[in-house]
Amino acid sequence: MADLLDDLNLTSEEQMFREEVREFLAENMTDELRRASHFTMWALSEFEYGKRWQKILHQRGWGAVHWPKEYGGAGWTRMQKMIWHIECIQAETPSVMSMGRDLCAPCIMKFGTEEQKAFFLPRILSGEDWWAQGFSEPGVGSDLRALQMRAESDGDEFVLNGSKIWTSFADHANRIFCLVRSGSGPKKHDGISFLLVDMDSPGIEVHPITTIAGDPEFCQVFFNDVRVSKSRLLGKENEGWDVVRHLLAYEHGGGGGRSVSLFGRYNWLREVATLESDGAGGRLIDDVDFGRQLAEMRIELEAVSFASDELSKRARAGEPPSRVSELLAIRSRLVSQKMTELAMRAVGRYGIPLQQGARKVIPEVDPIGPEHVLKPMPFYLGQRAGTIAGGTDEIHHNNVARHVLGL
Amino acid sequence: MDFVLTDEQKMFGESLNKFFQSEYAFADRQETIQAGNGFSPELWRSLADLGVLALPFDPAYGGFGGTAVDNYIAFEAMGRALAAEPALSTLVLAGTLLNQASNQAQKEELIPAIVAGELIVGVGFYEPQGRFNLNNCATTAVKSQGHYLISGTKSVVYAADTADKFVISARTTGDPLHEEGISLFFVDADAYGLTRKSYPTVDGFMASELYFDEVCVPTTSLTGEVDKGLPLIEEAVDAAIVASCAEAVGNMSALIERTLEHCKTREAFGQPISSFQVIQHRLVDMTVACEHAAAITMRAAKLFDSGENERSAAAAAAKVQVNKEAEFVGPNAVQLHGAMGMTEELDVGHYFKRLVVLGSSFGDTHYSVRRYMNKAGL
Ligand SMILES: Cc1cc2nc3c(=O)[nH]c(=O)nc-3n(C[C@H](O)[C@H](O)[C@H](O)COP(=O)(O)OP(=O)(O)OC[C@H]3O[C@@H](n4cnc5c(N)ncnc54)[C@H](O)[C@@H]3O)c2cc1C
Ligand SMILES: Cc1cc2nc3c(=O)[nH]c(=O)nc-3n(C[C@H](O)[C@H](O)[C@H](O)COP(=O)(O)OP(=O)(O)OC[C@H]3O[C@@H](n4cnc5c(N)ncnc54)[C@H](O)[C@@H]3O)c2cc1C
Repeated sequence: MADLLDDLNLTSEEQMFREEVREFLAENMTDELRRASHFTMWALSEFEYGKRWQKILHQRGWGAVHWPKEYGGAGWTRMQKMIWHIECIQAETPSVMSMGRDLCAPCIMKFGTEEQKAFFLPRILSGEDWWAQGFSEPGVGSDLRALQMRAESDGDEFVLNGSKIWTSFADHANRIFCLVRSGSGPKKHDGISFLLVDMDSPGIEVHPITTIAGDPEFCQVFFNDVRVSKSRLLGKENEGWDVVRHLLAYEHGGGGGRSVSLFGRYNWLREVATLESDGAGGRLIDDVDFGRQLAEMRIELEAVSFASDELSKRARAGEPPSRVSELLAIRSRLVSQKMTELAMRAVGRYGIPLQQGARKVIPEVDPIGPEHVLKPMPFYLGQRAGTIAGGTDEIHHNNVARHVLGL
Repeated sequence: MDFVLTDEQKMFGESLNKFFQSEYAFADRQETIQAGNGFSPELWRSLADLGVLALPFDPAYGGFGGTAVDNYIAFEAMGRALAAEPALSTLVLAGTLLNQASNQAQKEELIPAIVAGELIVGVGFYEPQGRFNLNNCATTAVKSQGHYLISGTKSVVYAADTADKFVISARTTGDPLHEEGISLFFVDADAYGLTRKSYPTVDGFMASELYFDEVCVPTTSLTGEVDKGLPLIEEAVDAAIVASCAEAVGNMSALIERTLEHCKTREAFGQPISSFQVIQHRLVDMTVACEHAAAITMRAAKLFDSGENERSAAAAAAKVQVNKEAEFVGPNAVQLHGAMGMTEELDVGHYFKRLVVLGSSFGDTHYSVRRYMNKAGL
C-alpha cells in the first residue's frame, strides 16, 4: 500500500495533505472502529460504528468528500481524494451506510428542488439521515423497469402499496428512496416515479433477512397504504427513470477507487497466509504452491489497478463514470472474489466453526482457533454478493455487449 | 449418470432417496440445527432401521458388509437430502478403524451398538497446528502401569458434543512429524481430564475442540498395533474422502435440480431466465461438472480395495476433481438464484456451504494434489 502512494509522485503540498489526513486518522480511529471495518462481510460495517465514524468525519468537514463544495464537499483535487481513499483503507475506517451519500445525494443535487436540496443534503452529511435504496422487489431484480409497487395519486399525495426486498440496512434507515409505478406509457420505464419516503410513515413494516454469511444484511420492506406527499417526488412524476439512469451510472461505476480497495484486500490475504501454518511446522506464505497462487493474484491485481487508474485519470471531474469502467469492473469483481476464496482456503479447517459471536465488534465469545481465522469464511460467503448486488455479473456482461461492443 | 451397479445397490439408493424425500424436509433440518442438538435422533434411528448404520460393518457383528460403492450410494443420498448427521465420523472414519484395526472384544462392544443407533463415535485425527497433515500429531500417549496418559488437542471434531466415544490419534513414540509412532485409542466422552469446547459449524453441524489433559485410558483401549496407526488413519481418511465426495455429488445434484427449477420459473425481461443462452450454458456446465465429480468418485470407490497406493491415489484424485467441480457448481447455483441465493432462508445457500466446508475437509486441493502425486508416483 505504501508503495502505491509512493508511485504517485506526490508534490510537497500533497505530501502535507497526506500528513494531515494521517494525523486525523491516527487521532480518530479507535480499535473498535477498525474492528468494525475489518469484520465487514459485505459492503457496510456494523451500523453503530459507521454512524459514529460519519459523525467524526462531519465534524472535520469531511462528511462527503466527493460532493461539490457548495453542498459541503471537501473541494479536493482528484489526487487528494486518492490519497484520502488510500489512507482510509490503510487505517481500516468503517464502511459507512452509503446509499444516501453516494447514490441518493447526487440525484438530489441534479434533480431536486431547492427545498429538497436544502432539507436533505445537510442531514445526509451530518449523519442525521440514513437512506435505504428501495429498488428491487420480490418479482423484480435485474429487470428493474418491470417494477410493480403501486403509487396511486390521491390529491397532492401518493398512496403506496407493495413491497421492496433486499433493501440493505433498511432496519437502520429513517428514509428510503423508492421506485414506484405511478402511471404507464408505451415504454416499460414510463410511469415510474422516484419518491423520497420517511421510514416512520404509517403502513411501513420492515423484516430483516439474514445472509449466508450470517448477518442481517438486508430487509424486506412492506408498504400498506403508505401516504407520501407529492413534494417528495424527485424529478418529474412518471419520469423517475431519468433519475435512475443518473444513479445507476454511479452505482455501477466505481471508477479508480476500487483497485485501492483490492490492494487492501490483497495485503490482508498475505497477512492471513503469514499467520497460517503450512501444517508441517512452517508458514503457509512460504509454501511454494501457495506462494505461486499469491503471485498470480498480485499480477491480476496489477492489471486491474493499472487499467482502472488510467481510466480514472482520463475521467473529468463531476461526470458520471464511463461505460468502460463497467467493463473493467467485471474483472475487478472477479479478482476481488478470488482473493476471498484464497483466504478462505488458507485458513483450512478453522474456516468451519461458525463464529458470529466472536467477530462482533464487542465479541460475545472467544474465537475458536486463532483470531485471523474469524474473517475468511464469512467474508468469502458474504462477498458472493459482489456478482449479484448492484447488478449481476450477467447483466453487466449484457450491458457491455450492448454499449461497449455495440451488439 | 448410470453407473454399473447391482440391482440391489440400485434399489438401496432409490429407497434412500425416497425416504429422505418424504421424511426429511429442509425445514425440519433447520429446526434440528436451531435446537442445537447437532443432529436428529429420530433421523438417526430411521437410518438404523433402514440399515444405513449397518452398511460398512462385518456381518459377524450385525453389519451388512457393504463396500465403498455401497457407501457411495448412501452418502450421495444423504448429500442430496443435506442430512446433517454424524454418519461420516461414526460409520466411515470410526467404522473403517473398527473393521480394519480393532480386536474382537472392541468389535463386539462397539459395532452392534453403532448398528442399533445407540452409539455415536467422534474422530480426532487433526490438530490445530497440523492443517491436513495426519502425521502432524503432537498429542501424546504415555504408557504407565497398565494404562496410557493422553495429553494434547484435537481440532474441529465433528459430532463431538453428542459422541459417546472418541477414537483419536496420539503419539506413542517419535517427534511430532514422524510417520511412525502414532497409535489409535478409544476414549470415553466422559473420561476424566477430557474437556470439549463445542460450537456450531458453517454447514449446520456441531463440532468441538477436544482438550486432553492427562486423560487416563486402559491399555485395552488401544486399537490396532502400537506405533503403527498412520496407515490405518490413512485408510479411514481415504474412505471418508470417497464418502464425502459422494456426499458432495449429492449436494451438487440437488443444487442443479433446484437451480434448473428456479431458472424455469423466475422471469426477467418478460421471459423465464432459462431462455437466456448464458444461463442455459451455465446450467449445462454445472451438469457436466457434476457428472465428472460423480465419475471420479465412483472410480475411487471401485478402486478402494485394490492396494494402498492405488486406493489413496484414487481417493486423492477424487478429492481434487470434486473440489474443482464444486467450486464451479456451488457459487453458480447461488449466482443464478440472484439475491435469493444469498439468504439463509433458502436451502441453496446451505448446500453451497456444505460444499465449501467439504472442500476444506480431509485435505484441500493443494494438499490433495501433492498426495496424489506422491501416491501415484508422479
Ligand atoms: C447483499 C445484497 C444487497 C442488496 N441491497 C439492495 C438494496 O439496498 N436495494 C435494492 O433495491 N436492491 C438490493 N439488492 C438487490 C440487487 O439489486 C438484486 O439482487 C440484483 O439486481 C439482481 O436481481 P435478483 O436478485 O432479483 O436476480 P434476478 O434478476 O432474478 O436474476 C437471477 C439470475 O438470472 C440472471 N439474469 C437475469 N436477467 C438476465 C439476462 N437478461 N441475461 C442473462 N442473465 C440474466 C441474473 O444474472 C441472475 O444470475 C441487494 C442484493 C444483495 C445480494
Ligand atoms: C478440422 C475440421 C474438420 C471438419 N470436417 C468436416 C466434415 O468432414 N464434414 C463437414 O460437413 N463439415 C466439416 N467441418 C465443418 C464443421 O462442421 C463446421 O465448422 C461446424 O459445423 C461449424 O460451422 P461453421 O464453421 O460455419 O461455424 P458457424 O456455424 O458460423 O459458427 C461460428 C461460431 O458461432 C457459434 N454459434 C453458431 N450458432 C450458435 C448458436 N445458436 N448459439 C451459440 N453459438 C453459436 C459457433 O459455436 C462458432 O463458435 C469441419 C471443420 C473443421 C474445423
